[in-house]
Amino acid sequence: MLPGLNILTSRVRWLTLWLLCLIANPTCAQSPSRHVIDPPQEITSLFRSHCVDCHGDGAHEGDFSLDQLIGSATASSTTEMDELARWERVEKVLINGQMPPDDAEPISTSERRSLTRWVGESITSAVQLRGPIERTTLRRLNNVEYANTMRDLLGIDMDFTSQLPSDSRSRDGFVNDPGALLVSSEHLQTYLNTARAALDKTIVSGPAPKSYHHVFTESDRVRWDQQAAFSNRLGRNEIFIANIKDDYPNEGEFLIRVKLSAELPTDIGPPILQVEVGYRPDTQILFGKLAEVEIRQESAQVLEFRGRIENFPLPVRGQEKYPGMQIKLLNIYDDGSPRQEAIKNKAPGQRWSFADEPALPHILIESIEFQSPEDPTWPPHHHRKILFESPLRDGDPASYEREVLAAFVTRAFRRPVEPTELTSFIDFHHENRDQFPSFEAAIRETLAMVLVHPSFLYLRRVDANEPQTVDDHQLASQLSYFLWSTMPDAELLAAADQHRLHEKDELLRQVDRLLADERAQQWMTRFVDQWLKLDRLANVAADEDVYPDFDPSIKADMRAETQMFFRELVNENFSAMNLIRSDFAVLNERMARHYGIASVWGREFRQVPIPNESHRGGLLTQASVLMANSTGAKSHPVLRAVWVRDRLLNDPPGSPPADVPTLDQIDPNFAELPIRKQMEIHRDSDSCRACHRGLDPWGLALENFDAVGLWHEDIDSSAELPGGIQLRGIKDLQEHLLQSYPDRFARSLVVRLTSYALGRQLDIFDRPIIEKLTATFAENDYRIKHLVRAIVQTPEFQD
Amino acid sequence: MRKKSWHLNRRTFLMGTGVSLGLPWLESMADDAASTPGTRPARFCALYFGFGVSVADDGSEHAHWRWIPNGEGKDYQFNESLKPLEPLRDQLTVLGGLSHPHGRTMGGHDTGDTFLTGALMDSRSLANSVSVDQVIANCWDGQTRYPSLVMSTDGGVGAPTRSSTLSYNQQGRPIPALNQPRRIFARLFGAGDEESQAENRRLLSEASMLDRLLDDSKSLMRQLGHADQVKLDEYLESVRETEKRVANSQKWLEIPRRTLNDDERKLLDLDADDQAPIRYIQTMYDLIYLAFVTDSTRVATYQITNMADASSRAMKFPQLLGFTENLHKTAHSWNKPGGVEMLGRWDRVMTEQFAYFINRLSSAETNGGSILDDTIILYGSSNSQTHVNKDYPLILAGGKRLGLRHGSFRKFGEAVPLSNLFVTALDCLGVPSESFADSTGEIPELRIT
Repeated sequence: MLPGLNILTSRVRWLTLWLLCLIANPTCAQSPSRHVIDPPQEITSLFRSHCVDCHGDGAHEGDFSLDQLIGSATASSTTEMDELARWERVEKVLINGQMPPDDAEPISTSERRSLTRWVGESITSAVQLRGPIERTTLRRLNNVEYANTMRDLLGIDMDFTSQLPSDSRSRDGFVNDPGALLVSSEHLQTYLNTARAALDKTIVSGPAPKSYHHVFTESDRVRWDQQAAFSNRLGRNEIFIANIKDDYPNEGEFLIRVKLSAELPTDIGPPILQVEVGYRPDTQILFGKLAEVEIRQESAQVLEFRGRIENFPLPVRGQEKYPGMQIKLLNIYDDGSPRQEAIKNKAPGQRWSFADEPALPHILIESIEFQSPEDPTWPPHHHRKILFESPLRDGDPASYEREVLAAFVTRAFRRPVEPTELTSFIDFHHENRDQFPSFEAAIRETLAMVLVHPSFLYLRRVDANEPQTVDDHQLASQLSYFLWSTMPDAELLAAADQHRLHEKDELLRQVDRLLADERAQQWMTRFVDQWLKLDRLANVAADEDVYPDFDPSIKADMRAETQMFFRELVNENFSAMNLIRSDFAVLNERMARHYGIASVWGREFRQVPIPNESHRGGLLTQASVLMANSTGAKSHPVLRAVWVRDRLLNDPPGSPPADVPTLDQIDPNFAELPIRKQMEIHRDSDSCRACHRGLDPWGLALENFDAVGLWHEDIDSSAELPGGIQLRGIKDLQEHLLQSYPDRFARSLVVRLTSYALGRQLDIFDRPIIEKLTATFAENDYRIKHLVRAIVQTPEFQD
Repeated sequence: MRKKSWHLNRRTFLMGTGVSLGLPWLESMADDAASTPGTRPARFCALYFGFGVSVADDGSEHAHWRWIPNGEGKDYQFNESLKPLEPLRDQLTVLGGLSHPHGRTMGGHDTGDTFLTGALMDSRSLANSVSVDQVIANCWDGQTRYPSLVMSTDGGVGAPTRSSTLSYNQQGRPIPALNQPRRIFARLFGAGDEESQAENRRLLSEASMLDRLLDDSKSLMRQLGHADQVKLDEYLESVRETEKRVANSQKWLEIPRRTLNDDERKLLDLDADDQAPIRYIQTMYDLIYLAFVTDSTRVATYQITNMADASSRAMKFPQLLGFTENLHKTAHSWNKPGGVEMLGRWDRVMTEQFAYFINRLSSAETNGGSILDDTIILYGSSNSQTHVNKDYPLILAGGKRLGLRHGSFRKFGEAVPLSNLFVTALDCLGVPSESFADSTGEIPELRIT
């Protein structure tokens, strides 16, 4: 079975493109008999001598025949799309050495090279000749973008997406593909309900709510039977608790201000303050977590935390059993050392206590302050941002409404709004105004309409009327949703308003500004997650028998390690080849401890040089990747191999054929054999060999890493790639990738990042731009920031 | 564009909590099934109480307070707590040994949420799945003014594993329950309270909003290339579909509600509240009865009590009726001196109300049969003895015309998941379902062959 089967299985996509092609150029449907690519004589003869025995003159092993590509007059039913796709398959199997197979006459390296070069160049020039193709460029905001946009537009934080259906991914794993992001009436109804609920919170009416203010200087121990763990001085897992019996609001923003200092012994991590709010003791969820922060200074400081009270599990009022709402501060730092039992002081009425642990970090709570509303002015800032002060406000209500709507719609649509567009909202507002009990209620409903309008919900990149001009505002959105996953900020919009964004200097200045901003975290984490399929980690549970001490919460640190590693490469402008092999890791205390690397303290990730004896460095040594592609009990060489081929080399193997024989027919004790032996038998089986001999070695070379990514010596991790290339473990694998596949890997990263940036799956028509970007990427020492800058300058990004 | 106030008054909300949005079919609205001779609509009602029942040991001095009857099959004998059902034994079947297999692995007080869903909810995932009543409601959607009536004593949705509703939509999200008789009455029979006016406003505004969105999208469409038009068409389709829903909801507003006669009105004590448990529970039952009689809906759920402990309004019910402990303590005292009898007496209080409800339905005639015969009622709990998530105490009542066979105490083993009962009920109700949750088939012995 040939790889590239996915091309066949994605027939729907091809069909779509084919239809588009039909629309854009009706002639291409009518002239299927002419070849787009005509191989010259010397190429044809190479194919004839090496391939046609199995894939031509009627033979079609692996369901693939060259007849329609190099045959003279028999191009019958082949379309242009089919033809190019087939040529791409040919290119792939030649590059990865899968064809010709071992038992066929070998092809010389120079012959292979001239074939692949010719095929690649032919496809590219065919595509270039083909000219621009019309694509779907309209896509709705995905759920993350929707939530971020609502938050930034309205200035309030709430859960905007819990009621929305979850987003689908593209075939390549990305959550921003127009084809995958559908809209149904369920979506529309939910968008409307969410908009109404959010606007109820954003635009207030009536008098200022009662304000609440409480200060606590001592943890409540009375209600808790003199519990030892309740204190102002928080050692590990100790708690400061504040009770507010009934005197707290049901709704609205609150501020918790904590005054504290700390004891930070050396050679140990800093304490971690966790802030929880709630207390619903009759349910599974007692508290909601408000924040978690490391305390890195000893001297006194004030920390502020904000939230909305209705987002936390609060006790039902009017009952007597529970103490009321609680604010709980915990020091959750634990170095893992054994802990002594609590001791009760002999004297009656004395408290229980723990033996002091001076070597561990402590947090000293001086006070907690609870304040609600968080913004003491009324109406609050988010209200004033929309219903702003204006001389028209009292003098000319109708003009004021128009002013308010124009400002809001412009922000919501992320572009200037035509007067005709505004009319629709103004008319709606006028029609409604008298039906609603107050001005605020009526304007909320009108703004809700803005938030279900297609110009808010969809990102749009092309203006079909003016295909040649760059639209600065579309570009601003494009940039902002690429790097920040949210709407453009004021500065970016200002650049668009001044029509300066399409100027190269200004564009790059803005890109650098966006990349330097904290919000750039959005694309780095999301892109890495989707490219490397790190979300799979959530679906793998460490086997409790094999790893009795494994704490599943470390999976979040594993994922973060890979995200932070990528971020470090971007921020430090390092070469992307560090993803293959690096002489540093980006670790925090937990991950360093997991890998057995000493003296890394705290939660924060930072660059750590790799000790000589360690085998870390690069994605393939990271626990996230290794565990996500394991069974939870054992490594899984095939999964890992598929991951390398697919994610790193953009060369996913095809699906197994439908008639896979069961292997215990070959050896009845198959299931008892060691995995390496099983895989050997597997590769020897006729129907499996073609794919697996080029696949398994990529995973076998990682065998020293177990299911949770820990290193084990004395494990056979040797493997042989097609062409007799010997790999002895991870070092050889990395070396081989760096020596033989730098271009393939770079191209894979370019394809994935461009796909993420453009918000669509790439296809054969994107070859020219991918090749250009890959070349630029290589010229700039594979620095990712350069790649980002290059992508935003492509006509594809700017349209 | 102001409407006359009477017009607004009789509009009721269709999107509010508790009564989920109705999608009446235009065709079927003209066809008032309840009043057309010869047609008798089927109905479904599920009733739940938390914490289980008294399971006094056979042969012990308190054995007569055991909820489970003695014997088996047709010749079974009620103990004290189910005695009020004696005159109704031909109308019901007592079921023993059934439970949800997932529930057996869940926390002792955590199974109320999954009584009608069969889902697995634990610390790894608190996601629920659709409840059987909503499968029915979806199937019958549009045939009545409301697809379902969802009620509980506590109202709202509660917290996961301490839910205060029995009903979950297709996505497994809780449907907020109604708990104030006056408000439920207002929804069913149209009173112009402030909230229903607000809902009317929303419905009107929504229709106009969608209309404008459609226009705006069409003009946007003209600026797009063909491929993007195809994409935006998806949005337009969604707007049109939503418009249809709103329009259909509005159509119901034009159909006059059936007015209650004096006897029916007399039934109701709309001021009943949780300070008077018996009056309150009976009023809630009466509301279901009236909703069925007027064919306002054919699906109802009522969570009488739940397992939310101190935060539940029902926790004080026993004390308000002279019991010494609250509901949770009463349930837990089965192994304390006097506890068995106390719990048994509480079980009997609940049974008396249930018997009241069955009698009410059996006395209502439509087209030559009682509503009870057209209604499948499931009554019970997801604990047997408190904390024990198996051998649910269950009674299946009514639905004789739909093919249920009654008069026995039937015991099942753990191999029969409770969902099999749901599949059986769905089939009787004409809601074809091959399976539900973890079902493995039907329970044929419950049906007339």
